[in-house]
Amino acid sequence: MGEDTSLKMTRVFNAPRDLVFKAWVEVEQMKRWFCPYDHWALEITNDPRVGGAYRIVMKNPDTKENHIVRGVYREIRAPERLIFTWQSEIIAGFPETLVTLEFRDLGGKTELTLTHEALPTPELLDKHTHGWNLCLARLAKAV
Amino acid sequence: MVKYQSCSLDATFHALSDPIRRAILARLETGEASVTQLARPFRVSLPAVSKHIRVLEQAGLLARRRSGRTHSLRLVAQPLRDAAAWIEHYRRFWEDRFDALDRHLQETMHRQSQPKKEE
Repeated sequence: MGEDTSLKMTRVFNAPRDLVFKAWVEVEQMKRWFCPYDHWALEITNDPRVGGAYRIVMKNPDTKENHIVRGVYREIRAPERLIFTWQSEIIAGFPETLVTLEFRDLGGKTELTLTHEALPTPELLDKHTHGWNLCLARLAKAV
Repeated sequence: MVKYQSCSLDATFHALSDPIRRAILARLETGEASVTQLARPFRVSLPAVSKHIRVLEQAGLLARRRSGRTHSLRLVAQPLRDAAAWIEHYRRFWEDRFDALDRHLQETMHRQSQPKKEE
């Protein structure tokens, strides 16, 4: 317990802030870069306003399985800041986590800082799902 | 050589969301196994088990070794060892997305700097 379950990362993109911000909220743009694997199909619905929801369906063509992420916008301050919740729709017990994006204008370039808070740990998921508990306990023994 | 698939966090969660896949991982704790050996305890077809194995491989949880026509699979449990490693998974997920976003932005900038062609 007491482990830090958030992560923070920063990257500078060689593009103006407006463009970087739009890439996170405009569906047509999100489709171009959000997919984990090139050959997967992506379906996105998005309602970018405070209280509005998004849903990203990632379809694995090899296995015909989907994994789905969804959430609600908490704050939208274009082009500076974006806050939304992040939850897995297919993992039982996956808690609501929070993603904060801060876009800093560096004169033609953009520094983006992503903070993902309240991430679930194996222990936390264990509480929700017995199957996980079993599985992870076994894996822990195996390593 | 063992080839590791890029392992995103979602792929890991997804891989663990199915009871058959968890059972496959549990079986592999006891050592390497072939696809046929892995399929034996389950009342599902060999192709169905192969499908589950592919999901686990994509998540970086399994490694495959070929000797002749036999494929042996073994567990790569490292990604799940502790919470720190777990957080590392999320980090990798977002780093991959940042890489893809970077490529997308460069393409967009490149297109915008090109003289307009007929649409």
